[in-house]
Amino acid sequence: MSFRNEKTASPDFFLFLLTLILVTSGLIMVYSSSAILAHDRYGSSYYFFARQLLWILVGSFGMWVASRVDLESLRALAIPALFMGLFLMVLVCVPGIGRTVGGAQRWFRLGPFSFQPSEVMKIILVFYLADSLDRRKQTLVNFSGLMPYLVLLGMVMVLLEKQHDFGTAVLLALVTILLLFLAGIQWTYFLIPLSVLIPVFIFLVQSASYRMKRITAFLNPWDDPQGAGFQLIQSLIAVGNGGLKGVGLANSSQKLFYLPAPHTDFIFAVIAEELGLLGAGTLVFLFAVFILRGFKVASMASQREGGLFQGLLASGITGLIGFQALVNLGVVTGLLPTKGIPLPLISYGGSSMVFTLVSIGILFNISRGMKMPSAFSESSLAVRGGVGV
Amino acid sequence: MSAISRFSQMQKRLLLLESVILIAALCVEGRLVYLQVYKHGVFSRLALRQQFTPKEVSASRGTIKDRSGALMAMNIGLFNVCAHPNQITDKVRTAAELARATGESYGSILNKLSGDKAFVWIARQIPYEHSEAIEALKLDGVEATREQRRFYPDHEMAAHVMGFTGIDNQGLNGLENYYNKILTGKKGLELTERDARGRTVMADNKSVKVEKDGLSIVTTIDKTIQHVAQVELQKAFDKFRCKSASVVVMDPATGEILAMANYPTFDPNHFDAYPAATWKNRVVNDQFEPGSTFKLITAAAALEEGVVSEDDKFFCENGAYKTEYGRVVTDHESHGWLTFREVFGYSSNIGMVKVGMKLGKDNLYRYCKKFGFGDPTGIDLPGEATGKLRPPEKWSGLSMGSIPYGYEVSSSPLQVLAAYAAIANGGVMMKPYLVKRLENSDGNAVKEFAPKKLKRVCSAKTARRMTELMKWVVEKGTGTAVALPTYPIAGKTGTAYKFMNGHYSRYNYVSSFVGFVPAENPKFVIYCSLDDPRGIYWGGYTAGPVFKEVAKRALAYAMVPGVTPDSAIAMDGDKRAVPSFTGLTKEQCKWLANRDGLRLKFDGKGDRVVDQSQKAGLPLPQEKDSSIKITLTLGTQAGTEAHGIMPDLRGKTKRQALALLSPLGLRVNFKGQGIVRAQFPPAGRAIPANMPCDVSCDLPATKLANLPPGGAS
Repeated sequence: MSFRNEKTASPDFFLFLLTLILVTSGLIMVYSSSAILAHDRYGSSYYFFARQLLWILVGSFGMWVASRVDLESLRALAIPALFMGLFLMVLVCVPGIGRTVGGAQRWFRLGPFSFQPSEVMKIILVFYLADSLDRRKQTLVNFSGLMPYLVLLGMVMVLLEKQHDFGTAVLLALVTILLLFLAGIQWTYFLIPLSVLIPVFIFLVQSASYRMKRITAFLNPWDDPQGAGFQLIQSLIAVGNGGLKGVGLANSSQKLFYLPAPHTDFIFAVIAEELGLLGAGTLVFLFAVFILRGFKVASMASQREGGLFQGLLASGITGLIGFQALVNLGVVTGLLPTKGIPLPLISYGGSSMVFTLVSIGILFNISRGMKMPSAFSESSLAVRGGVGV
Repeated sequence: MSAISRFSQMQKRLLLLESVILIAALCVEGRLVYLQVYKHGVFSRLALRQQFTPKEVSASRGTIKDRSGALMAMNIGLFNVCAHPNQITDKVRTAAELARATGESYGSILNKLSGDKAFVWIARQIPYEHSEAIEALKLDGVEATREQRRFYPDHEMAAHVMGFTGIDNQGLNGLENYYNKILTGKKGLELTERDARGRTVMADNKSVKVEKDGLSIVTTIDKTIQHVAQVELQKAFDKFRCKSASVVVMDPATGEILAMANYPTFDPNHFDAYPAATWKNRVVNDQFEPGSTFKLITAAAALEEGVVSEDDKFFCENGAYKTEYGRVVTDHESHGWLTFREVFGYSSNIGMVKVGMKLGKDNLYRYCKKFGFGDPTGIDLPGEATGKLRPPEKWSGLSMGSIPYGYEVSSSPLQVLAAYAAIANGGVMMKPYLVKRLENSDGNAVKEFAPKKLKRVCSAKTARRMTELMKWVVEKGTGTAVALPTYPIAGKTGTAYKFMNGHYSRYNYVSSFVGFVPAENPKFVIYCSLDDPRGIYWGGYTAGPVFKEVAKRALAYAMVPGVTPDSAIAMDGDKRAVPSFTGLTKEQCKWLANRDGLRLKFDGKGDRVVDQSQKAGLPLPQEKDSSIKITLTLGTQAGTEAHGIMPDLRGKTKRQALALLSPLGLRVNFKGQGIVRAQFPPAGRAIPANMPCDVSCDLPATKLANLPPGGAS
């Protein structure tokens, strides 16, 4: 691994600022939403807050490293990393090694902390796809060139299915399609992966009764308000109860064991209840701006000489974070069926936070030296030296 | 394809993607607006409903006080334990713990918890120690709540006036029932925040509706007179082995009921331990043929209509008189020729029937109505009996041989009392009432009930003439046993046959006496009736003594000046001495002088005595000598020097009372033995040195009210 020269240009300040705002407000909301739960379960209201803070520090270090490595020299590691990731995904499914939480076996236990291989798999897959698609861009015109990627995606999805991680499977499918699409495959070829994916999707939905229930619960949660519709109803009550201005920070009542996972998957419901439309709407806006900024970085990177790899990498990372955010927001507001997907940068969760920050570090890395058109460009020039990443 | 063009293709596709992202973000924003603005009301109600449990906050029930403010009904805190079975997981353990803490049976508790009900009572009205033990267990789904329970500190005192309350504190009888709404107040509503596990969240409860405490009632009842009335009534009840007995004392000028008692009685604290028959307030809820006391109406009507005068003579047929329809009217004793005064005074039925005939049925009926028969008096007690008075067109040929002396007509004791009170009040009938004032919990008056004139029943002149006739009853007629040497009494006896099993019994009577004292400027109208007395049954000898004793003690208590000195009411101190008049009002001085047989002369202006011509404490001869004359100088309050404050002696023993009084240099007259029951001056009053102090003791330790200055009326 080789680092760039210290003198190289600073990364995009605007993206850094957005990340800082999101992570900080996320940390506050993790405390607000988890304090009572933490006190109830662990006797200390700071239990989740302290851990989240620790992971942010670890993730920030990872981000700092990722923003400084030489991405081009890392490309050699794409294939070994992919195999490493797949190996970990298999290993986590082995009984006795993987740890089961809430009926899903998808964690490794490392001392007091647990680690989710699917989180690192997301970055590895995006990195591999960007590298591979850049190198094999000529073969993409044929359908046979698509096949390896579809096979790979199928394997990853089956492994995720073993971990009952349907949400991540859908996410990775979306990101894979996104990268194939950006890499330039023909419109018509799109029908092929879709024609494969849709039956797989339907099979996966039907193969597990809980998924079917989630789908039907999403369509009409009030059919079974104490059962399948419970999560969604509680989430909608929280969001709706917030109103325009919210019930005030730390004042959510829905987090009092009504909302499932108030500090992880449904943290946005607590935010909406406590901060109202003003707070929740601002958060959605910040995420939208973040995604558009990420794609801007991708777009500018792709214009550089031999920049397809970095452009695809930036798109993949932005897509990962963006899709997760939008799916989570959709689930919490009842626009999408319930899936276990955390809100990136906000939700409690060590693996998610660390690898999201690392992938943003890569985004920073790519954005170095770009002349980004931004309202912040002047100010970002002014403080560029002080950013330190 | 060139590299440049593919890059631009990727940019195009990124733009497309950006649009998709923007649309998705806008969808989320739109959804947020929909949920948080448009549907906010619906969801906040849902949130409120699941997070908050409505809880009623009970308001304090108003207390009931006697006219001087002494508590007669109050609240004490008790605890209820309830459970929410649908929140209890380990029902067996919970039931076992509860059984141990409450002492209730394990089986019945488990039975209550077994259902999936949201709410069951485990134990109600248990003492604090038990509920504390339950709270200490911290059982999920079990709650101890505080509840107030009614307590009547004087137990039987005025039980029929007070009434009682049920387990939900609802008034079931008496004032408790009549004023239930006012006493109850309004319940508040509070929302308790709960988490999804049903636990109360440590936060302030939201008060949706603030509870409003019930108002307190200040009655017209005077605890002292009530006590006296009850004691005397019980004596007669026991002596004559009656079925029941009633007494009422009223202030004729206002209609205020000062005492009302019945025997047998009950303790409202445990009313359910007594037969339901004892709960009946016979004074108000009972009706029966009044008999001779009703002759007042016939006589007053005859005088008012001018059909007779006091000295008109009637032939009383030597005890048996057959009316034109064949009814035989008899007298208790046979009389020949009697004046109208004597007809009334000896209570001749035959004479009264003849008076009634002179009057005519329409006139008689009109005066019955005027005097309030057949109509409720409107007293503020539930279930008042109206009595029965048929209109003259429904009277039979026999009626004129019955109604003039109180048969074929029924009334409640209160109606008879009200009729006599109207005569005492110069012919104006006042509405009898029991509540003087409503107070809020701070003791401020919210509403005052003023005396209410109902109507004029006869002219003041007729009332005066009737008073004279009634005085004659006590002086020379059937009521001589009632006479008091100090105060002239106007009254009437009644000895009515009871109508039993379809005919009038020769052996069962309702004996009564009703009248007022003093005959001039009456302070009290008193009614007493004894149902079925054994031995002597004459009203004048059975109910009369109750009247006499109540009157005597009430007059002394109210310090009503008598016409002649009365040794009977003098406090039996060791030696007679000139009392200290310093600091007393004119009226109080008169009372003292009357007691000790002194003549007074007042000098100067003011409302209090500042000096007296003979020093207090000078010995007086053992025999009363009206030649002793004392001149009292009046002045303003400022001139009198208070040497101390009168302590509250009530409830103390004689020895304790003496220990309290001796440092004040007071001369103490004790009357009776046992516990101090009443005192003069009342507690808290500034007292000059060497002031005579009267303390009455009685064996049963009954708390009595302060003596109000100038009497109770």
